[in-house]
Amino acid sequence: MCDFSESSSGIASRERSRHHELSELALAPQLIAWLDHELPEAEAAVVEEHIRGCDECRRQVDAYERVSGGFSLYCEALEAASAAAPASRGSRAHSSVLRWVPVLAGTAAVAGVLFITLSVAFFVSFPGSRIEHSAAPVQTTTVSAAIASGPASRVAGSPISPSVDPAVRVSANRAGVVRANAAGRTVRAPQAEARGFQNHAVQNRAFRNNDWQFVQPAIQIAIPAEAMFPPGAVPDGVNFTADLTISTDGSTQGLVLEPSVIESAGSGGSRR
Amino acid sequence: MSGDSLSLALPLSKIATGATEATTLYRELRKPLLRYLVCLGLSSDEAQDVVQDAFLRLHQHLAAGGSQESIRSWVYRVAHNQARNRQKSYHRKFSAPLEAGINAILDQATPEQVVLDKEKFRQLAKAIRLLERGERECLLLRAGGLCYREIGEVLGVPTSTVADTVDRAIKKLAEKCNV
Repeated sequence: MCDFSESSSGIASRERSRHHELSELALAPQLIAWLDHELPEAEAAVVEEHIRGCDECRRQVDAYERVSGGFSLYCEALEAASAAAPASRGSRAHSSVLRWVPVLAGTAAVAGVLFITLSVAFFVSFPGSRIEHSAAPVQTTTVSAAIASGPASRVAGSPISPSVDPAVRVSANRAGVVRANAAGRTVRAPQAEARGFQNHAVQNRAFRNNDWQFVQPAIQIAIPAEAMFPPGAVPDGVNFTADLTISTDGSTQGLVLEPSVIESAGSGGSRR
Repeated sequence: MSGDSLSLALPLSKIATGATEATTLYRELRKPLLRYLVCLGLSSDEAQDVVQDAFLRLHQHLAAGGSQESIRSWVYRVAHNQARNRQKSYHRKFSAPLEAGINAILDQATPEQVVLDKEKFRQLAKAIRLLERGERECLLLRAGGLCYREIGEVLGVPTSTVADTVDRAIKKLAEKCNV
């Protein structure tokens, strides 16, 4: 009997233990949901009652609470780091800029050398373009008779009246078109540029007129009339304008003289 | 005349009501939303931009008479999707949050740090980084105060999946941290 009662109580104890283990297995997945208040009331009450009598589940719940608190701290840490991040990002950006400085400097140096090389090559290939750069500081000088003697021999053969103003003004643009005006007496170009001009008669006036719209007086050359025509060949009061076309290699392709009348001689300006 | 006044007044009242609700939600959700976005991997400036844009959309949504049901998860979902788009465009990963924050908070003397010493905190941070993206997102939203249903709405998964994911993630962290 005693043995029976003892075995009966032992069976009951084992049953309780087994029931507890089963309930622990069943409730274990619900502990975190219970902690988060995500269980329905009936289930939450069962879990709560179980936790009260189960040290292991209570210990687990405590561990889950500590982990959840630690995770919140981790989030705070990230937020704090992010708030402090702009300064470090700025320093990183600054350091990255410093890291690029040698590269940028090298690129700028190469670009500068390349620009200078191309500019030199351009001016060597297109000498007429040098006029553009010399346009601002225009100088006034006089072309010697020797320089103008070449064109003069050709102009002398033209059908223009032999009465010519004592001087011829020549202007040139960046495209190499040169305009000569007999009313002028001064040269507005470096002499080195003026020496490069070789005049030829212009046969195609339409071509010259098309180029004329680009003409910007950069060089004005005054050629003394005595250098072009014999003394007394040009009557007083008669003036003419000479249009020169100069190609990009500096050679003169044409010269056309257009007669006009001087209103008041000796002023040195254009009177077309 | 009265008809005109009525037709004009109704949208205005809607806008005013929407603006009030948006303002209330802004005060309530701005800080946890910023924290969530930063923890996802956005910078502070980017998070600010995303929050502003999310609340601008909320204002438009409410002004247009949109549904106000689950409005918290609606705002979080908008912000979450924008954060994902930004991270896609910048080829960044959710699994690469700012590491400097750990040291930043460890250097501060707060009562919470008395509970968790530095070594345990580092263990926890390491364990968090080892979590899967979905697990981390669930825990982040949970830390932001969202319930499982709201987390499911933000992430587009069932509530039961959220419960399982949170349970799994918390147990992983507890196991890794030996708590």
